[in-house]
Amino acid sequence: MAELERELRLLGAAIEVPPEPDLVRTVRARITEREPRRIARRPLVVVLAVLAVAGGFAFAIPQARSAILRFFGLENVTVVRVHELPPAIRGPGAIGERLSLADAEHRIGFAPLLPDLGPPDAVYLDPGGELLVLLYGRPVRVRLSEFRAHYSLEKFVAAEQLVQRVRVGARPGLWIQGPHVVAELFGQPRLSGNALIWQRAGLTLRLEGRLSRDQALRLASSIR
Amino acid sequence: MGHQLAAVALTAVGTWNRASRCGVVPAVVGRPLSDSDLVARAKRGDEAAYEELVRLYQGIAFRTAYLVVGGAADAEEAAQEAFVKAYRALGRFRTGAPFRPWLLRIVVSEARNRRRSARRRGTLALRAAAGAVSGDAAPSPETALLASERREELLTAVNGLGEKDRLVITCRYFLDLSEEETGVALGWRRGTVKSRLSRALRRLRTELGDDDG
Repeated sequence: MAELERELRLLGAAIEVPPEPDLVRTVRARITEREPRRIARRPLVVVLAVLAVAGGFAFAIPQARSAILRFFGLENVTVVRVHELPPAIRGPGAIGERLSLADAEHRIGFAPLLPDLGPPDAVYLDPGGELLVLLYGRPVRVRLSEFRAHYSLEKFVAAEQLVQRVRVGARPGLWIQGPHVVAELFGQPRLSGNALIWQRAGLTLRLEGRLSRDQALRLASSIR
Repeated sequence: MGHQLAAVALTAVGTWNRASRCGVVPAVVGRPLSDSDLVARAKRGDEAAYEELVRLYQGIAFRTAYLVVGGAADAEEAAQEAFVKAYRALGRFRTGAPFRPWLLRIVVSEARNRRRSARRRGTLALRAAAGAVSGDAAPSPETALLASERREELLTAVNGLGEKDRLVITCRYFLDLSEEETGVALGWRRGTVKSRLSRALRRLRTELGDDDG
């Protein structure tokens, strides 16, 4: 055993790896790319902030990373408003490992909350073992993601899209109407349809599907 | 009233951010900042601090991505994407936790995604005349001891392993990560790392016809 391990270490040193590229400039360009637009956007942000006060529901999220809004009660969901949605894949994307509900529960270490839709058609766990995804219907009609507070999501919404603050029972939630891009920590950014996000029992839940706001709220209330 | 508050809040964030960026300069003179200092600064929006982390870890990030995906262009893309994602995810990074395995976890995930979607999967190859490379990549005397025939055989066996077996071998032996770091990088528990590693070694031994263990 020890001999094989030693040989593998030596093999590692002999594998051809191309010269490493310099990533500093490209990464810098990408993490700062939204900065110049911040000033131009601010008037819109303020206008929509007025609407938020007037309407009580609709509000805008400034796009600058430094001013990302962390929602009260939804600290681990970040919404970034952008001029153009980032590149994203369509369809469900690679979620991770497919498991039975019982195995997934064992691996993730919490009991999943389930909607009133019967047993899920498929259950997945992300490669980090922190995000549980339940799929309902074939083809998939409803996708329910669940994770604990230390995991989080990033969402990109287009400038013209309104994000609504809603209540799921007594708990604060967020309704995003229309196509937006959701970036989970693992996997590629993915184009998502309407989505409802809220927290319950120490979990963050995200319900996505071809659902109207009222249908999503009703389904969310059925979750136990 | 409400919109004034909103405007004030935004201005305050902007000013504070600029101030923290300026603040990094004098501190760099003197001793180099530790990873956790750099991460703490980057978390506060200090892009210069994050650039320093990119500089420090781009080598291992690219190497990791390359060993997983097996192609230079995909590896560069995966490493770059991982740094951007890690930056955006810094808010969820637990202060005081080691940065390297956390970053590598995102790198591995990006590289695995690319490998899955690649039409032709890259396989790893040995450096040309790996036993006698000149210049700065000169092998250690121990490297030369591993006969080239045996190296080829071993690499073919590794290339032929299933994904998880290959990943655990890559992290533990090609990247020389500890068991704990391997666990973080692959998102597995320590016990899972141990059991998958011994399974992968067993398979390699069977493949190579080494049955004496």
